[in-house]
Amino acid sequence: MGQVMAAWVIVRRPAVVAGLLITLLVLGGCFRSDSGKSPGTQATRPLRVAYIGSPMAAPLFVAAASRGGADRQPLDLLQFKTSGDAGYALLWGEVDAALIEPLKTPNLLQTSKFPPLKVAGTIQFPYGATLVLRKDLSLRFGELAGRTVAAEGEDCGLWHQFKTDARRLGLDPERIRTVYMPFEDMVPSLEAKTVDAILTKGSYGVIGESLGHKILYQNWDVAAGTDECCPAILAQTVYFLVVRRLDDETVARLVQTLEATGQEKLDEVRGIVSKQTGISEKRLAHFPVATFSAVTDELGSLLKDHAWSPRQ
Amino acid sequence: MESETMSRPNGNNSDYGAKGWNLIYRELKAFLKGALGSVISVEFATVLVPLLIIWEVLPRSGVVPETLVPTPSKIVATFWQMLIEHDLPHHIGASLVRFFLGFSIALLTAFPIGVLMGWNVFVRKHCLPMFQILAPVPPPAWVPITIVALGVGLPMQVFLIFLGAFYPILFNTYQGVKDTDPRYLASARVFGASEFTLIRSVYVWHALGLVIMGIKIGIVLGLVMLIISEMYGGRSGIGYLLVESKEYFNIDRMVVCMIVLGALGWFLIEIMKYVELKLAIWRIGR
Repeated sequence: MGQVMAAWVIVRRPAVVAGLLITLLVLGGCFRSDSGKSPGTQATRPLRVAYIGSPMAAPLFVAAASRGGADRQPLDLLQFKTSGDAGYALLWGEVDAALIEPLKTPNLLQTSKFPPLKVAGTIQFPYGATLVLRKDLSLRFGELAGRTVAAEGEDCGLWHQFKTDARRLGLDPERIRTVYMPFEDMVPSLEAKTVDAILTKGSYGVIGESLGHKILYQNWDVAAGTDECCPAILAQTVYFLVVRRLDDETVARLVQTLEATGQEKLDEVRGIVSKQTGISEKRLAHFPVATFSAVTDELGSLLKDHAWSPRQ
Repeated sequence: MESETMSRPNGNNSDYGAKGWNLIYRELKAFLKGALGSVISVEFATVLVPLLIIWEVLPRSGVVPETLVPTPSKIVATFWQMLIEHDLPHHIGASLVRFFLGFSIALLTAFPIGVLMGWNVFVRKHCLPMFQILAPVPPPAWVPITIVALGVGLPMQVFLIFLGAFYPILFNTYQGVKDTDPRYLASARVFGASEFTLIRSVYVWHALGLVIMGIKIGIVLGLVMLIISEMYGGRSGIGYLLVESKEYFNIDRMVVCMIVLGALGWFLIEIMKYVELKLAIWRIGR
């Protein structure tokens, strides 16, 4: 009787059968994709980490290149064009962790309630006032008058420092046309040729130079976090390391692995970064090296539930 | 005194003003009736209202994450916020300027070339193969070479919009002119019409329906290229806002940008429908 019913349904109601098949396929797909991402399997495989190709990802490059130590977390690096793309890859589970710029991180953390995203650490780089000139321009420092320079804000400490130094070097800063934008948007604006130069943090200076732009001025003696435009907690932060649906043990191993990269010799780090980015070691030798830092208590209290800490 | 008489044939200049305003009012009413007629209808409301309710309820009830699928009410609030705080009108204006520059150049070049190709075999044989080879290249594939040649500023954006709109207008005009009924041409020639008169009074009017169709397709492709071009260069425009919203995970703003673009495209198409209604009325009933 049951077989007769089934045959009747298949012959007389093909749409119902097709609907059922589609539902089964969709459900099957959901379960399959879910099982592949279960937290238990992550300890045995390399973690997929999304990054943007720049020397600022040095700790990741070093950790991925490192072979020794059973307690080290193997990493599989995936390069993305922007940290926005890396964030979406993280949201949809294509990667387990991603380096996201500070200004973008709060929105990303709010976007995903389940699974929750957590900040496991930060990439740090010395602050420093840096003026990067667009690659197709050939100007000296004194010839910046009348040119458009992007700065973070009128009250930004970098801008005040630059103005003081410019006067000392014979350039009237009032004759420079200024546009204000976040640090995150400066290098893309330089690439889009909407500005002639950018006055930015040391980290973006290195990123700009790695894209072929020229550094005209640099002053590392700028105290970080003395102004509202760049609070101390974020001043030296280039990226947040955001992780998704990882068990505590895996995150702890990841953080430990990345922290250990700070003990490597600088020449070796520059060699690895050079290999990964194509920038010569000679050029990298002019700059400090980016380092990884776990979430501090101060940052933890700022991020609240979104901060990962070993106590969890 | 004579000039005064000429400017006021009925002795009252305000009659002309009143008639003019009446005409504008009537035409505007006709345009809005035509444009909004299909949108503001009971039939469409029976589809739209349930969809909006489902869209509002699903994220609110947690079936789909509200952070990834913003509700219509949230989108309205975001739209208002962007209008007031984020200079949305400036971005819409910047996009419109780029679009009209690129689109006008496309119209002013594609229409005459299309007419010439449809009218004259010599021109057709020399030019058509080149356009047939270039047209299949998808307009977005032109982006890298355009950036190399024109940089990433306004010229690049205008050129890409031009590329998007050019071929549909060109080929539709060409086809419309080429397919002109020979009987109309023969009749006109019997009355001693010159070739220029034929083009002006027979070919162009015969092709008008297809030309307007080409312009409508050109508008859509031009808008596609506008967004692509604004994603690459500049710091203004709806395309820029869209990418920036995506980059900063502002999904509600992304949806607002999409809705604004949709409304813009719809409005431009409705204008063309109105133009068609006025100029090629014989096609409307088909």
